[in-house]
Amino acid sequence: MSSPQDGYRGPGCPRCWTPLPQAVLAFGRVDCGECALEFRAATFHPLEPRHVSRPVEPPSGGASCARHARNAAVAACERCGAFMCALCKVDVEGKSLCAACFDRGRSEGSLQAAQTTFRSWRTLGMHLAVVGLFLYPFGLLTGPASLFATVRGIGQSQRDGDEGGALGTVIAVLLGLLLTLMGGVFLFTIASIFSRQRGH
Amino acid sequence: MRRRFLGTVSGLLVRTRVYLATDAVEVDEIEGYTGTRRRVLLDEVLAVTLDRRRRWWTIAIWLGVGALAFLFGFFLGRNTGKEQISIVGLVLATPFLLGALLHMGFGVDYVTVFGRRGVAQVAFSFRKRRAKQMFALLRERAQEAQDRARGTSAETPPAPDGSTNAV
Repeated sequence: MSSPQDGYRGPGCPRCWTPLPQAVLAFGRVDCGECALEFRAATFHPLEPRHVSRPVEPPSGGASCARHARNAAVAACERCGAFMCALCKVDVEGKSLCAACFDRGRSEGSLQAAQTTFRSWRTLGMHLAVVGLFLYPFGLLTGPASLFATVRGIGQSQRDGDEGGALGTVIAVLLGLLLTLMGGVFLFTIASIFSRQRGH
Repeated sequence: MRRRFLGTVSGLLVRTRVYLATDAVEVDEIEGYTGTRRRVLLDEVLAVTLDRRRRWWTIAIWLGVGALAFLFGFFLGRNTGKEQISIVGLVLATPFLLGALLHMGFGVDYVTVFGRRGVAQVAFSFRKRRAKQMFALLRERAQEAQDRARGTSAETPPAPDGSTNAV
């Protein structure tokens, strides 16, 4: 099955992604002619993006936008101070930024809301915990590493404002603790065997 | 900004976690340890669908693994003359066979949100009622967002400088 996002062509069959006209989806119960999947559908008619063209009036008296000289400035960028019109102004994380500063913040990773890629600490924690089970003699390494990654994952989820879906995190924490314990017990057992052999 | 966890879809390489934020359905696609976030804006939703399907490859793999575990135990038990080994094989095979049977019987429910520029999908293997609730919730939220956008659009004057007002 292809990924839904690969060459997305609009609404259609949710299994084979064959596009279907809105009129067909509007029936409510739909049979896909390609893969024979039967599904329920609800259609919507979102507002079309408006393309407005109107004569532009030069700013009367006030400052003009740094990029669009014919537009009146409505604010100044909170990072670089440049005047910006309503088109250039980007409101993000409680700040008003110009497009250039927004791009810069996004590429530097300083704007949390504009980030589109991230490291999944939660996944790393879970993988370390599961792999660690097979390498339990090294539990004193993999256990704390898994716990560290999971705790960072929890922080990440809190920053994102996630609600629910914490079962995996709980399992990873429990496995991390178990691994640490197993690693400790293993080392203790080895150490006690060695000390007994020395005693003899 | 808070977002509510809706569910996941797991592929061979990519695991997807889907959340409902105030104005969009957020999709976190995790490949390896790198996640990519995309959004399907509620005021751009074109359709929401609900379907139930059976993934035949999943059933085949689970049945195969279950059969392998059972046959291995069975033959090993028969050759060594110890019946307990056959029972162990059966115990090991049971979860896989049960999983395949459950999947065959109940299938997996999928809720899909089609936006103007992207799509989000959530799978529900066990909680079928939750799938229906999610379908209803997403329909309601999309409708609300679009009604709100229509209201705002009626009040807002056109954007200056001959440009689009699309966000």
